[in-house]
Amino acid sequence: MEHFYDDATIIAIYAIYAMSLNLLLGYAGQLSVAHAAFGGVGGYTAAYLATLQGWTFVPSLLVGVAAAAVIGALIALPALYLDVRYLILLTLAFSTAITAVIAAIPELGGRVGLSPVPSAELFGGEPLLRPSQFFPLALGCGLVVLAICARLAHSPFGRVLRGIRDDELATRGIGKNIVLYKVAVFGVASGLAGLGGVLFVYYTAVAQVAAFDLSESMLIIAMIVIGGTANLLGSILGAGLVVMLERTLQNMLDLDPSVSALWRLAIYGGLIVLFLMVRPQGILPERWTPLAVVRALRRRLRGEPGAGLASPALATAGAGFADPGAIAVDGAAADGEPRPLARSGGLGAPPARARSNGRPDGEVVLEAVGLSKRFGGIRAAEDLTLQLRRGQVTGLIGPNGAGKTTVFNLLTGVVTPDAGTVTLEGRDIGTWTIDRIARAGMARTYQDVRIFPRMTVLENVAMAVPDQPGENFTTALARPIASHRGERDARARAIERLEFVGLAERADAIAGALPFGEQKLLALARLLATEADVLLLDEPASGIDIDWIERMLEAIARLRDEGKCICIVEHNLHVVERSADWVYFLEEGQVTAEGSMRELMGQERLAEVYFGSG
Amino acid sequence: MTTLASITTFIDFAIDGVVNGSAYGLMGVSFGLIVAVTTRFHFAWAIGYAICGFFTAYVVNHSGIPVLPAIVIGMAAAALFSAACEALVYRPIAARTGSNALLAVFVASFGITIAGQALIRLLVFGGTGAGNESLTWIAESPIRIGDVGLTSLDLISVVVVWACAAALWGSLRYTGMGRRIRAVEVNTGMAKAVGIRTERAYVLVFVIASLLAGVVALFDTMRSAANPEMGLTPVFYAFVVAFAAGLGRSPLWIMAVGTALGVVEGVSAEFVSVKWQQVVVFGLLLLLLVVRAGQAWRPDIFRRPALRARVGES
Amino acid sequence: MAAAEEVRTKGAPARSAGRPLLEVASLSAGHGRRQVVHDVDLGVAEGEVVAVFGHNGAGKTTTLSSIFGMVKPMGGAVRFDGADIAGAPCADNVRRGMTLIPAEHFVFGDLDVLDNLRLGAQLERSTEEVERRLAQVYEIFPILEQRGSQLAGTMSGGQQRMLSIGIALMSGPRLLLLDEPSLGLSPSLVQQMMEVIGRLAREGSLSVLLVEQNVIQTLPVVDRAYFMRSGRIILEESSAELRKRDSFWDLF
Repeated sequence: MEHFYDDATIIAIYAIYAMSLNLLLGYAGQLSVAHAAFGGVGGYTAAYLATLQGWTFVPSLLVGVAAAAVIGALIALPALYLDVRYLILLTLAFSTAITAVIAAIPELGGRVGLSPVPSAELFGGEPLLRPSQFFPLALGCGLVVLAICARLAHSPFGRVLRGIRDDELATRGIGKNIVLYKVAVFGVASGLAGLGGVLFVYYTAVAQVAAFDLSESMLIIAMIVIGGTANLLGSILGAGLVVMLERTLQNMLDLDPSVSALWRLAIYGGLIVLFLMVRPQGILPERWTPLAVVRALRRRLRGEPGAGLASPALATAGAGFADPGAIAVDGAAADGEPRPLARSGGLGAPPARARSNGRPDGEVVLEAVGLSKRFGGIRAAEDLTLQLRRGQVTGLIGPNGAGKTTVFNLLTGVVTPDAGTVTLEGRDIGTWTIDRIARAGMARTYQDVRIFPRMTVLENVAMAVPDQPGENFTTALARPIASHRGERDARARAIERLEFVGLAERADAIAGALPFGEQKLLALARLLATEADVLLLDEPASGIDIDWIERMLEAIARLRDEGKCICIVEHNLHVVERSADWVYFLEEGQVTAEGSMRELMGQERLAEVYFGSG
Repeated sequence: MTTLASITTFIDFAIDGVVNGSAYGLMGVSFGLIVAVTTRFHFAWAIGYAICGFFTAYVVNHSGIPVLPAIVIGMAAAALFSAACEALVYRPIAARTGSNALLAVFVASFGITIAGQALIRLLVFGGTGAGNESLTWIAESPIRIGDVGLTSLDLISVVVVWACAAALWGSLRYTGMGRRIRAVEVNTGMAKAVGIRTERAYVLVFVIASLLAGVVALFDTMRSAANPEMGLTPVFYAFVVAFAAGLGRSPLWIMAVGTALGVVEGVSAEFVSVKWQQVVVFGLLLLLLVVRAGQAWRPDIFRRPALRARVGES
Repeated sequence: MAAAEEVRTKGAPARSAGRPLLEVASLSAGHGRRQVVHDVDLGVAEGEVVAVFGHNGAGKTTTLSSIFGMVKPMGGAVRFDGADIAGAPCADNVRRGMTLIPAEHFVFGDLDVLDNLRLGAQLERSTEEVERRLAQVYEIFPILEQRGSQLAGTMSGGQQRMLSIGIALMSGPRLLLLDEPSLGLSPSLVQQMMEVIGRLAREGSLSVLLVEQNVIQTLPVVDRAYFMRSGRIILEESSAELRKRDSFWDLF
């Protein structure tokens, strides 16, 4: 019987490791091969306090967890600014450095470690000596960790994490300050790993470096890869499978412990490779949450048709290592016909605009004066000046390499200008970060769309709604009611935006499976959800067929009539002619002409520049 | 007299550092070649290393085969293993995982390493035994230069290792094959446009790198001993040296960086105990990374491409 | 496959074209799941210079890439000299005599000029042949001989363009695929380059399929042109007819 509790305790501890790593790797997309090392930080801190300072269990545990969390948050800081390749190196170096440091500090017992660690007891109760006594503690901690991870993962906070995983730039572009999120998730994941380490040290009554080295970290990664990335149940499943694998090898095959240890290593190493080659998302893919499983079962039992879990869109929308771009289509053609717009209100034809020679009046919302930017020897922008006005669509046209995308990058903070100012509603935003500018009221779409392919249409748009209480770390954890209420609001507002672009019926579809034209409309809906007043649309008409272009144009016209300030970069001059009130012509980073499209087309020099001179 | 003695010790440590550092340099050259050209984080390099070092020694000690043919067998086995990693594992995984390929390949590579070490132990020793094999081939006769001592094996290892690096440098610069490899590294799109089969180039790079690593492994075996886990520490040094020198740099520069690292590590033995030496190495690496992160910490360039931009990936 | 045989061309071609070299029928292509090229038919006959004009994002580059094999077509047929090559890898197509010069990153920037040129001929085994081609390239672009050991990335844009054409010629191609060769060049350089291309086509029995935005400066060297918009061909005309037009705004 003790055997069972022993296995169960070990599984519980590894499940804690796996769930916390899943939060970091599966949900936030940050690879760390140092997870066990954080366990070591927690475990050794607690062991040191317990054996050499005589602390009792609970205080040692708390300090251990805190130490791991703090160091984890610190590691996040350089990680923010490092390429993914350097991030691997960073966590690799950290893991090895920690084990080297621990092994070198004499007070920590070197390679032999600290022992014996006194038994855990809770608040002066019985010492938890036997597995059957320790198990409730381990189980309790495991459930707490599950609750924390689940709350974070399924809250708006977790949604932002997934945004960071899928497309960090787009996530920043809708106003999320990802620095806070990354530091928070590293801190939490490391702290929980520290908890696992503390439990491990107390359970085995010894703190040894070998229990927290690189192979342990890879063992935990194996649990996630096999069980399912971005699926907390999968982490538990993975932990269970890997631990039971070893038990089976030892007991049923009656092997020598050292031999079975080797077979365990060989098998789980092989399983990692196998799963990555064949099923990168693991056994339980991202969307197979308990709730979804129950609903699908209910539907199956009632004999209802429709998307159950077997639907290809759901099943293959895996997370972690699966290719985010390769979402299977359930039968539909790559670019289907656009559906008719929602009948409610109908867009109707845009009101006729009087053609005047001057620019129509309107309040200047965004002004760029004298913007310059060089990349090496290339002049991307040179003394560039333009204005965007409320209730107008401004077009930016020009031959290839004229600097149109650079203008957007300069305006939205992706690139800092060498000279010049950018003023948004009177405020100088030249040095502001991308997310701050988005929150201040100017946001953009991207030429390559950049929707979050693994989320539903609704989630894509809901994430862009500003000021969501549930995105705050402490609110998500500690105030579920406020978080839930905020989420309901966000979803309601998201549905409104989706109705505007005509995608409300597709709210539960996986974004990556949508035809490209719908993805562009989704990107527009997401942009609108930010409630930005200045909308920068990067090639809204590219890559889509005539019918989709019509829908896009209708949406743009309606937005203009509602008083938004819109700027579009376009190559399709027909689109510009139909939608823009004022057009800037860019050449080699400078504005060389402006006016209505008709006026510009009449200028022969412009034709020369665009089509070449004779 | 104490000053002279400590200078002699210092030089001893430094020479030790040069010998070790040259090995680190070639490790970095080998590993760096793979990452620079193919972008695969080939952690299983450790297994290729172990296959060559351990396998050769085992074959010599347990079968009648003389040393030279055994070396050929060991090198061939390591090369085959490396080629198989790329062609059978990394390439399909990269195809399946798209933009996450880097992470997935790295994790898979680690899985191969873990499994590989265990399998080698199981197959060769049936799981038991310490498994240390030693190889005696080049005599380790002591040499004295002034007051400083090293062995002939040490001297030969430095010469051979640097010669290998020079050979690589030469072939990259002056041969058609070398030109093709550089083409793939510098601009993969154009490489395809001129008709280079990039998939084959990747496999070739893995083979060359494993041969270079094999040379280091053999000297490692001769200087100490071989076991299936012998590649784990070297792969770290390979990592550190390759990234500290910078990807895509000349093999000779990487050798210099590796040697410098070896000297720093060796000389630090004067001041810190052995236990802390590894900490010094990784502390330096961490420092390097934090500095690089600091360089990238500017609001307009969030993700500074810290590695040389690879051009033309379609 | 009809494009080369059907009389869709308005007006007689400037020179009499030979037999069809490249035939593309109902080509669809894109990136990932995004389809950018819809049902494109086009063809190039031996000795012809054919252009595909269109605005950015019209699908021109993707068309070229999928013909050459950089990108796998989603559907349709591509035939080169009678052989079916749709989906074949680039290396095979270079061997057959097709060469692509991309729109960007068209040289090996970190390698020197001579290495760049040698790489163009890396499929060729005979050193004599390689030297012969090198001499030819130097004759057309003497500056490349002078700057042999200069790193390609440090040359000016125009010189890099010349080098890219040199690299392509080193492979001894029968069909040259050019992606926006005028990109980033001043009008006078574009003029020079177009003259070179025209001369190569006339003298070297080289066929050319080029993709461009710059209509005016390209027309003089072109026999026939297609116009693409939003992934589809909207017009095919001989250059003689095109020169009669006074504006191209409605075609973009």
